[in-house]
Amino acid sequence: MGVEERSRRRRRHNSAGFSLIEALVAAGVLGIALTALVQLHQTSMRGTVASSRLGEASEVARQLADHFSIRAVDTPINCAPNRNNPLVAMPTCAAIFATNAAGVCNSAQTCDTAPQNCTFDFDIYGNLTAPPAGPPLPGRYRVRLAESQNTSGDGFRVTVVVCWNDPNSNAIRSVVTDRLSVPGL
Amino acid sequence: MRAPKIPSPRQRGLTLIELLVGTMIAAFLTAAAFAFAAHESRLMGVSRERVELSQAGRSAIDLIAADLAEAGAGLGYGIANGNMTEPSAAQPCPGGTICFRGLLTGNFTVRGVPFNTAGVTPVLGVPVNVDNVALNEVDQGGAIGVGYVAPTQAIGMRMASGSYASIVNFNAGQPEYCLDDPALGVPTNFRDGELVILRHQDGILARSGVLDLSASGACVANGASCANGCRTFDVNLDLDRTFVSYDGAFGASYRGGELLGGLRTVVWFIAPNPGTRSGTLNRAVFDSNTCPGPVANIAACSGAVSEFAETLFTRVWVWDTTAIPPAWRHVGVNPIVTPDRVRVDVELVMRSRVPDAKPNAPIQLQIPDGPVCVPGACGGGDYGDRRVYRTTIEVVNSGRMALPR
Repeated sequence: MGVEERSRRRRRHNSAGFSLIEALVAAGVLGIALTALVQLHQTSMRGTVASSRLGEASEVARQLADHFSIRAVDTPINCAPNRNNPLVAMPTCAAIFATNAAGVCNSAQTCDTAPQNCTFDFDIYGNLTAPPAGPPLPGRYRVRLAESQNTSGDGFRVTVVVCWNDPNSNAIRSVVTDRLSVPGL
Repeated sequence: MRAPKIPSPRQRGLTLIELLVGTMIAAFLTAAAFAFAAHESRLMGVSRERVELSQAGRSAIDLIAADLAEAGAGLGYGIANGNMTEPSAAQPCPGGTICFRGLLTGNFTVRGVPFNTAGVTPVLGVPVNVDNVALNEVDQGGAIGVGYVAPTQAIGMRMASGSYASIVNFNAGQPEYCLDDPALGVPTNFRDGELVILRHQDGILARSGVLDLSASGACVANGASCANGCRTFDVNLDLDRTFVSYDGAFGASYRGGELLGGLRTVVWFIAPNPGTRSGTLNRAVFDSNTCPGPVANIAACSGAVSEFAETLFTRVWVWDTTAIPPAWRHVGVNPIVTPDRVRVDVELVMRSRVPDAKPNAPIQLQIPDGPVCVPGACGGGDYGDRRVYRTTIEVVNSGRMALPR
């Protein structure tokens, strides 16, 4: 076989296009890249939603802490732990989800005028509902109130726990905030 | 001579079909990549807008709360026994009662600028004047959409925020006050031309004026009663800027009372932002520096706090000790008749500049007791991405400690 013949064969081989294996490998690489990209996008979306929910829950906690810290001076929080039952432990979010606690605020008006109760569902727009058994509905937050008297005895510290279910991870999330209210200050 | 070489079919290049198919695939992939990038970019933009919205809303309501907490500082009370200079038309105190004068609600005017004059909406059976702000909806493309009217309220608060001194002598000829620190010499804590308020020792009478230190000098009559020195002063009556708790405040002696500087009236309100689709939350300050009067130009007196704002509502409560048991009572736009605690609920709706991807139901406000919604009618809705911020503030300086309980 001469040099010219070997060169012709090489050219013919190079111009033969991609083999099936090559095409499959290329498609596989592209598929992996696209899958990674889609997963990245989904992770980003989940992070955005989770961040948004956390921000909303923090705002809900802050608003309610502002509200009830002033009211606590006049009207005891009607669930333990409070000034009358200081040694009762604060229930966990799972416990709050599991039981439909007695004595809930059925409307904002009831919650504002009657001695406030300890558990209710709230959303970022201020809509307040009685909590169903189980986790709060999407977009809503389960709120639990508690209070304690400060060490000098002249004020009250209101604690607000906001719980919700993260649908992405199916995990229970919570935000806790408190506010000290001392009459005259 | 050799015949020209004929290329094999694989060496002839791409056919038109192959070229078209390849181009379509490339275009499809490129379009998908662009769409993905655009979506991610928009997502990042929405996230950034929401963070900005959250920060703007929270910081705005904190600023409002800080002003509210200081409302009434140094003002004393008003007692209804005659004509009050301000705000007599809107908030007359019932006979023989004591009114807290640190808050301005309902229909009020500050130095010629009217607030809350657009209409009246019943709230809890008590008329509450509301203003309206004309805004535009946001459509899905982010363009300015249909116009609507958002109800909103302005709220004002007065407070003395400057220097403080005890008045040891007060008569028509030459009032005098004690210096805090002799090292200061000339009363540098007070500025000539500053808006000040004189408060009677019983904490009820009060009136304001423009401090005149042009002839200030050593005290003549009562200097010995001040531990750190004493200076004379004058207060010039300026009706356009004068706060009077009630008529008797003009002729009263303020000996034994207090001289407080930095008297100001602060008004929070929402105005449409010309050229845009949003509202602007404004904080107008009326004092001796910002808006000296006699008739204020609101544009020169106010500063924009946030361009995301849409609706502001407040509700004033007093702690009613006559109720059994004692309870908070909503006063509407009536006089704040109380010698006791005063509390204010605030509700602020903010709207993002970026429209949401899907239509949102309107938000029903909590403070107005009734179907008051943004945007516009409660049955509507738009693509606006809104957040509600609320707080409850107890007025610290309601002056209750100055009165017998």
